[in-house]
Amino acid sequence: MRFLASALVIVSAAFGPVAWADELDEPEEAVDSAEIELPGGECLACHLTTDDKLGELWKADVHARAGITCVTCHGGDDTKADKDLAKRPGTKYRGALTPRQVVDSCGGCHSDAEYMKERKPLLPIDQLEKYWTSWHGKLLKEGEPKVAQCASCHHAHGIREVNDAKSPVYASNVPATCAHCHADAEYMREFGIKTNQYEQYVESVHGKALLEKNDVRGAPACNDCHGNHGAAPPSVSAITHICGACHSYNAELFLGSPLAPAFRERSLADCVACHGQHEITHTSDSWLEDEPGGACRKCHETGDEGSELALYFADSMESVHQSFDEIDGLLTEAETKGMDVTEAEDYVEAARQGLMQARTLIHAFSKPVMEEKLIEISANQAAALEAGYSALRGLQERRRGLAISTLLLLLLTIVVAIKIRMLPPTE
Amino acid sequence: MSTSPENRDRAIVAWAKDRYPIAKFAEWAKHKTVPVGPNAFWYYFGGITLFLFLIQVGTGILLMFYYKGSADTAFASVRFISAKVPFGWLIRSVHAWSANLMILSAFIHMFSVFFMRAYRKPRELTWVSGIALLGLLLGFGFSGYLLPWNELAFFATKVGTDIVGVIPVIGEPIMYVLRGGEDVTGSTLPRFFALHVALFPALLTIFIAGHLFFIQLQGIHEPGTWKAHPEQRKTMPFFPHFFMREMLLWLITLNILAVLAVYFPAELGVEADPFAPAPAGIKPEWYFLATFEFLKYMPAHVGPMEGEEFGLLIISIGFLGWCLVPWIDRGRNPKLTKIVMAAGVAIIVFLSIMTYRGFAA
Amino acid sequence: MKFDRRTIVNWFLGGSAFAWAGSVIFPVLRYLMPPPEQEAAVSAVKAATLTEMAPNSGKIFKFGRKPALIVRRSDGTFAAFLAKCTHLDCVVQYRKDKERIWCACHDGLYDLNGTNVGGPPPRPLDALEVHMQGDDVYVTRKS
Repeated sequence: MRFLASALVIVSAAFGPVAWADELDEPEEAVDSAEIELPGGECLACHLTTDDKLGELWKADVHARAGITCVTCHGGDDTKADKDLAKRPGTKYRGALTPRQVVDSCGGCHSDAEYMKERKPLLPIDQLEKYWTSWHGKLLKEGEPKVAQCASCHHAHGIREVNDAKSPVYASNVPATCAHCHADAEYMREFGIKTNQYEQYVESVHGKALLEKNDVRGAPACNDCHGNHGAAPPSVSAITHICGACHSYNAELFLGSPLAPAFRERSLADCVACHGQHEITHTSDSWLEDEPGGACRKCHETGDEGSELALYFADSMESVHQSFDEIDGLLTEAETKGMDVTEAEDYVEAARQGLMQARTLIHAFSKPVMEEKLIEISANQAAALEAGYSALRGLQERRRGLAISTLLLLLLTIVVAIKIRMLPPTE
Repeated sequence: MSTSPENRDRAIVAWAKDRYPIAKFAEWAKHKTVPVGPNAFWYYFGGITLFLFLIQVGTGILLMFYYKGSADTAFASVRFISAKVPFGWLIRSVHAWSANLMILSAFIHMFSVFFMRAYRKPRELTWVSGIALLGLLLGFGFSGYLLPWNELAFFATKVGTDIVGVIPVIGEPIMYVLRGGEDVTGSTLPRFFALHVALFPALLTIFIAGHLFFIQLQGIHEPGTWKAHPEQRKTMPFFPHFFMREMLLWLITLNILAVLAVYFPAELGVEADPFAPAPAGIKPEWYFLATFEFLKYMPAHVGPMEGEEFGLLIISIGFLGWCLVPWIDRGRNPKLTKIVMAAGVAIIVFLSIMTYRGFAA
Repeated sequence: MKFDRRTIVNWFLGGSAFAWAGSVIFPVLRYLMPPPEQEAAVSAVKAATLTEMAPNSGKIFKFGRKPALIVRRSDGTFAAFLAKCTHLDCVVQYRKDKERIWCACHDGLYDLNGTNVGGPPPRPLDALEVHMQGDDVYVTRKS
């Protein structure tokens, strides 16, 4: 056995260079076809040569890897190399699929629990059902061919898994995929809806988090609020649930606040009423201010209960910020003078966490709730200030100590100098 | 007042005289002299360097009371010293400042000896041992810089040991040993700590002893003109004339250290993270800046050698020449002496420019 | 008793040298006295006591400079983590009702092994090690 192996090594070493040269001459396809046997039978014989992209797309398609063939969707007979024979009547050949055919064809398998369980047990099977609840699905049923169907978002022959970063439905690709139609004013004209959502979204906190910071797990794309297969604008009453999916504490506070029933009465869209929808920006404490354009001023008037509360919030935030400015100045001064302020920074960090929580607590629209948090924040801020001042006092102490020691040294120096003068002269 | 302090002093002296050859020592001390002349000021720098070294030993031992030399704890323990231990900031800042001043005064001492041509026969070995001492001081500086385990030190050490690795054949193994592995990691720290507090101090003590012993045996170098004009010869007794002046300088030096420590305390920065990308503006300590800058100006390749390798070769040749100065300039050929002195000036100018450029970069 | 100039200078010399030496020795002696506050360089922190923490409860404590969370699972075992959410650094908390670690900012959820199981967090919490010593629960860095 060992002899055989070593003989093989010797032989292959001898022919090595030759074999190498052969490999170089061979066309690349050979290597590819060795990797996966592309399903599609005789269809590929023509279609791969006439449509050079098709082969590439089909190679990357999850269905090709799962062994699904052209016939599954397009019908026909892929055992026949002859075009007419392959597409002869009785083979259920149907060529390019209409939008409705696409939905039925994909949905046929993907909603079949028995079928999917055997192949991709973790994948949901409710896409088709949801699709018919979406505006896309409803319009398609009415015969509108321009709406999105499966292939509009997933593509036809290059379908990748949703976690594949190259997939058009991968989280960070979703906004562009939706925008492909929804931002096209020409295309959308007859539907009478806005086309600026994408433009607004990319500038929003969510858009920036997803597209710039690439927070694919955290930041929502279009589908996270609208649903994907069941895409539709959420109803007013659903807004809090949708935002609350991530901002759960805010939603909980809001729904428990006196504002929730008042908003319902006026058919205000909870979160959206103040924060906007696609354009959601970072909140600012200035929203609370009792000035035209302030978020509260949309409903409240100066002097009423709500406006008073808003004013209280605004003033509280303002004073918290002022304290932070004071602390920052103090700590910067202490630090540039070489004092260690890490302890103070810990309190600052705690206070900043507190401020973040206080901002969330605004959604309870309750003065006592806010008061409690503010006490905690100001305690931390006071501790930070104290630590900063104590650092500066320490610095004073250092300088005083140095002054004393220098004075003593000066005295010593003078005495030694006198002593030196008193020494007998050198020669 | 029969029990005046003086009487008591005498009793102690008598006790000691009974046991030790005090009289001999006093006799010797009486005759030890130091030349007086326009250059006399420079004679103090050797002593100042020694004093600063003593400060380093003292503050270094104090720092070891709280310092913890492992990658997990080093940074936090140094911060603890600076922030929490009473006068910890003072001890640490004095240690850091004294290190810098020590190297500075060693440089001044070396160049003053050079320009006074005090390296000539019979003081060749004093010169060479002095250079070894300077090398050790630089080693102290390099190894000590890493110990706070902050970001700047971490990357400066990375760059510094990289340069060692450039040396052909032996460079790589030395770098490997210094780093305790392929890269600067937590394993590097204990090694540098060991070098800094054990090996280097031991070596330095031996070399200082040798250096001082040579000076003691041969006396302090006197200006060359005195040989021709003995009437110009002027000296002062070492005890107490020179000694008290030196003491005065030491006191002043200590106070300068205190002022620096109070007004410019040693910084700590952020903790080193071996996996973080190198921050911009990584620079070694000022005494390595000239070398660092010089190597930066090397082209990628010089002939068959890599640029850095070539730069190191030039530095090594220069360094060797510097060590051999006592044998190059023996004082027999005035022209040669002039060239050597000019070279000394050129070296100072070169080091200054390179250091300045390093700072400005 | 007669003082000549020399003696006076000597007295002054001794006195001022003594005083000055005091200004050097004092800081050194103070330095050698260990500060009451134990080191910030934490390797181990007493996070809680056994009696203080009922099963199915959590507690925020300071691990060095960082906030940390110790939880006691329903079965009585302990686990500890750095309390910073791996999404956007909010401080997480223990939710008795869900037996989960929860981040209020974006509804991030971790199980009691610190694994991110819901919401935005991209990776598990940084785990610490728990050691019991009598009634005391100590937390150390993961070795």
